[in-house]
Amino acid sequence: MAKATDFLIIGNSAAGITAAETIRMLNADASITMIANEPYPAYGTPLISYLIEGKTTEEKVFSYKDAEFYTRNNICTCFDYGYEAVKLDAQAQTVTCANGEVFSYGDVLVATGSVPFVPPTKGIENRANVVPFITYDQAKQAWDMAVAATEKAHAEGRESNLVVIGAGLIGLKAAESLSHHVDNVRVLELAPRILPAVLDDEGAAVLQAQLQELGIVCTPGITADELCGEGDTVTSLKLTDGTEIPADLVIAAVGVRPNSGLAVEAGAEQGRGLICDEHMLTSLPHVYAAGDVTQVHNTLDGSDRPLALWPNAIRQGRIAGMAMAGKPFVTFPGNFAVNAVDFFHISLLTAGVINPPEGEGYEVDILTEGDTYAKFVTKDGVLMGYILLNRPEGAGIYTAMIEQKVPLTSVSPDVFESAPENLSFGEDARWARLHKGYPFDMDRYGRKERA
Amino acid sequence: MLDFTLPRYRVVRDEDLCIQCGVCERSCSNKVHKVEEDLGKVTAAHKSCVNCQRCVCMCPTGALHIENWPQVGNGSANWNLPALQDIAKQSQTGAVLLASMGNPKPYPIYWDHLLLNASQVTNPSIDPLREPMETRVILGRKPAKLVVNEREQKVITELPPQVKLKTPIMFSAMSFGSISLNAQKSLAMAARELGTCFNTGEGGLHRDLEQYGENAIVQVASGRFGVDPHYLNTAAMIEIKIGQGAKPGIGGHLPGEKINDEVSRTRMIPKGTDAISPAPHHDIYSIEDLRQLIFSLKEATCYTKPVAVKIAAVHNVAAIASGVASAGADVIVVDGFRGGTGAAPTRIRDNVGIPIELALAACDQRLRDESIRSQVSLVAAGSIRHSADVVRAIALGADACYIASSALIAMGCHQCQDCSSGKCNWGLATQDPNLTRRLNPEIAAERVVNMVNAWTHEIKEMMGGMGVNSVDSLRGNRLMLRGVGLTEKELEILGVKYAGE
Amino acid sequence: MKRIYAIEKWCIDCKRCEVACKAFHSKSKDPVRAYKYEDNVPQPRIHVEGDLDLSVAINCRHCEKPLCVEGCISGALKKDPETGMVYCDQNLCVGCRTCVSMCPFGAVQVVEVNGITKAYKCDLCSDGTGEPGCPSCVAACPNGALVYVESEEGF
Repeated sequence: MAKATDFLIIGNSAAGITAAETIRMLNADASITMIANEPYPAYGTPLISYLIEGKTTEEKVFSYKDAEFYTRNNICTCFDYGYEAVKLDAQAQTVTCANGEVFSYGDVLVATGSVPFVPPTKGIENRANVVPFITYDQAKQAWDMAVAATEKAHAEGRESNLVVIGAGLIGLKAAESLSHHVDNVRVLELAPRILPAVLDDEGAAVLQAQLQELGIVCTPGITADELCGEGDTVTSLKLTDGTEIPADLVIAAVGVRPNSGLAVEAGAEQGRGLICDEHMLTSLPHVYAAGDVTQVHNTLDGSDRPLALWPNAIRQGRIAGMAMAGKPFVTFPGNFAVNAVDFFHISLLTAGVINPPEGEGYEVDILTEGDTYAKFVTKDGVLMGYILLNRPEGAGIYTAMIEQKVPLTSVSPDVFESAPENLSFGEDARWARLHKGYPFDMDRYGRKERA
Repeated sequence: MLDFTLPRYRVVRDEDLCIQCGVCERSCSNKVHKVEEDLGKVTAAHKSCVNCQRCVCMCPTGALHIENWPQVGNGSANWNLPALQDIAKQSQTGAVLLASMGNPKPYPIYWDHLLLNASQVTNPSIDPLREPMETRVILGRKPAKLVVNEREQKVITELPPQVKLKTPIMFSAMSFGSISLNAQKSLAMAARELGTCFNTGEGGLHRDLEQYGENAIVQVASGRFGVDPHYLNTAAMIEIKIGQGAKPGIGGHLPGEKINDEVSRTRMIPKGTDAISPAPHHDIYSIEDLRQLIFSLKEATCYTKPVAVKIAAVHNVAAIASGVASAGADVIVVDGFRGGTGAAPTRIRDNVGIPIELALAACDQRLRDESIRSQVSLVAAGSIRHSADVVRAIALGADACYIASSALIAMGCHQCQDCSSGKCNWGLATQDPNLTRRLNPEIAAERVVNMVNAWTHEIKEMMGGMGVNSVDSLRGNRLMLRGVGLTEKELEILGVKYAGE
Repeated sequence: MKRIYAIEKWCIDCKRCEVACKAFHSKSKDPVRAYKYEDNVPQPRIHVEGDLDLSVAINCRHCEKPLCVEGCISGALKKDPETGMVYCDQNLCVGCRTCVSMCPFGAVQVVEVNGITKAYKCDLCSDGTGEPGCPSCVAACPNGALVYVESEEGF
């Protein structure tokens, strides 16, 4: 017997929980059911590295929403490993879970996020000490294993070795956080630079050097050829440069892909992620999708690819929720990447187009000073992207300049030289930016206009 | 050559309270304070301090106060330190000493020797909270006879042009140029709210202030800056300035660097040129000449505006006032020697002129003796410090008072006497946009309004205590005054009895 | 909701607002103690941009749709549904700077204090209950360059 619900939400992360909250805000009565394959309340997945570093606690990780969130919003929650959605029948409007439970829905939101992409490296399959680094469980597992490996190694009178395959955001955050619990950290990367998706060559080199000083050894251009070791335990890796390095723990963080299998098998159209319309409706009726599982139209370069970022998932979740609740007031025009990441005391913020293709009219402005590296990409007189390494001040102003396509002629010419300011904008633009909701009957001198 | 002058003040910083926030540094246009990050402390260039007390007021922790420079003189009351310092300055520069604001020397302040009366038993006092108390005054010529059609309740006599004030307190002449536009605007706004007048001084009327024309007295002085028919007709009253209490007998000089775009437009002179007001009006060498100017101005305004003449209180002030009245002035303003100024030669400010109390009493008496008192109104100016001074002035014969220093103080002035530097930290006596911005007219006007309302309230209370219920009944009522510590001669001139008489 | 607006025509770059803000958000609420003696150096949540020629005080706009809240991975940044106030629960903040990359006004600062990196932003001098208080910056401004007024709805 299928459990009936008006709105079924698969996934309990940014997109799912925002959609649920939005639906409840617009519709007080409808039944909302959320299912997810983790037995936890919603949490910010990027927090797992902060947890390992001790910058947050288990209790705080699970406080993304307050304790009464689900009951207050009258959301039926089915959060457990058994609630992995395995089959979606768009015709019958049902979803079947791994534990056999079936839900029938009015509208369903697929917010299943992304799953790690496992490279076809020899010897990587069925290894107990090779773990991905995306979910809370995986992070806890990696943490425990790192601590255990170090204890074991020290008992054996040697140093413990962590190898991270993949120097993307996840790989480097794993390396940073686990470095507190192992002796040696080595990060492998197939691409010729670290953080290939969010940095350029020059910036990556600067960051790589800074990480090296902090004990994180990155070797871009070199990756694992084969994982060696008896049974289910990897003990060393043969690398593409012919060397072999020891390993007690391997983090597989080559990349992620949209966890879209459920919807695709049901017949949903897929590009590089689920294809949705501007209200986040997939090609299947009553099936919506939001978050990392979708492909997102890049408003800057026009490409379509997944955008596995927290704020994007929130935004899509809200729009999907509004459409599902029958109040599609806002449409999703696409988005662009804004990344914020920190390693130890190093901060890195990047947004938009950072590696512009040759010959398309992009211009690049690079400023370096001390340990900072700043790169600004402009085209047709507007800012298209930036890299800010150790120069975070006011970065959101640049983000707004990209999003609102602010003509650079309208801002002060030295806006890139140092931290941007609201004063970088012209007087009228500045007033408009800073005075949203300013009383109609007051003038720019703060005076009440007398009738 | 080595400059022998000493600092006048010492900035004292309580290191226990100083948080090195730098508010003082950013507040001081004289660049006294400096946050020395490498030393971890804030230092002060004492010599540049003018004691305007802006930093003292702005400091978030109250860590600052200003002291006199502790250097002592040799004990001589004659060759005291200020006298030595003046010589040191002049021997360095060869220049006339310049000063600002009013005469600071310890001449007798006659106000403080005049005590007010109050009713007891007979002629009972009046409670102004329970009974009406009239503070309205009318400036201008009063008709000798008033014919009224009682049936239709209409005045038949044609009334000469007059100005109605809700309180006997007006703001005296401070030109745009000597003070900032924001300061003048604050006074204009306050005047409108209070139902009184501000005075443009000899600086023209800025176009932004034309909307306050009904509360504006426009001045025509020896430089004739900013004068045209539009200017005259916008105003409530026209004032011919013959002299100023702070610097009788000399003109004025606004240096070219203060003549920015707006000042230039308003004064109708080229930008950057010195604005020199000659000592005399070059077309006035007699009472008859003055009469010509008065009637030229009346003609230009179709006899719709009263014309006032402002004279400094000098030796023959009563006779001069009599002449001015017969020249056709509707209002005579007498400005005493403690009146303020944006800039005056120190020796003139400190040594020329006579006290307003004596001058006012003499003028009122003379006009009465000549039976022409009702042809003119008398306005007293020159350091009216509070409401009791207003009451005394009215009892000595004034129709109304002008205040300027008091109004500036309400807006933030701390009487540092450094107006002429153009670096007024309170945004009053400066044209530097970074300093004038410090004076928000909304706030300043409110403060001035508060002060005048408080004074008006006090005037009502004092009048009520005397058993008098209107300013008109108090005017020239010298029986309400008694002198203390005065000589026979002083009492005679003031026309008051000694306390106990 | 009531919002703080900066009137740059009257801003004189004195930065008394910053001092008042820092003092309010200190343990002692006293500027001398806040600046000189408190170990946990309090951070101002308002900053004055510019110089004597042109300056303006910037603090959180408490946006209708706050991008910082949207981007916050820890749930530390919240918008109170009742009062509209955007505030930071520092207990949850991990200092990732997503908010810094999102705020269009540069009104969120992520600062390391005693080795702990957290986001600091205007909370309208709330006493921690989510109810706005009496903003100390507005009270400290000597020149009417900060006004705290009821804003228009639905802009």
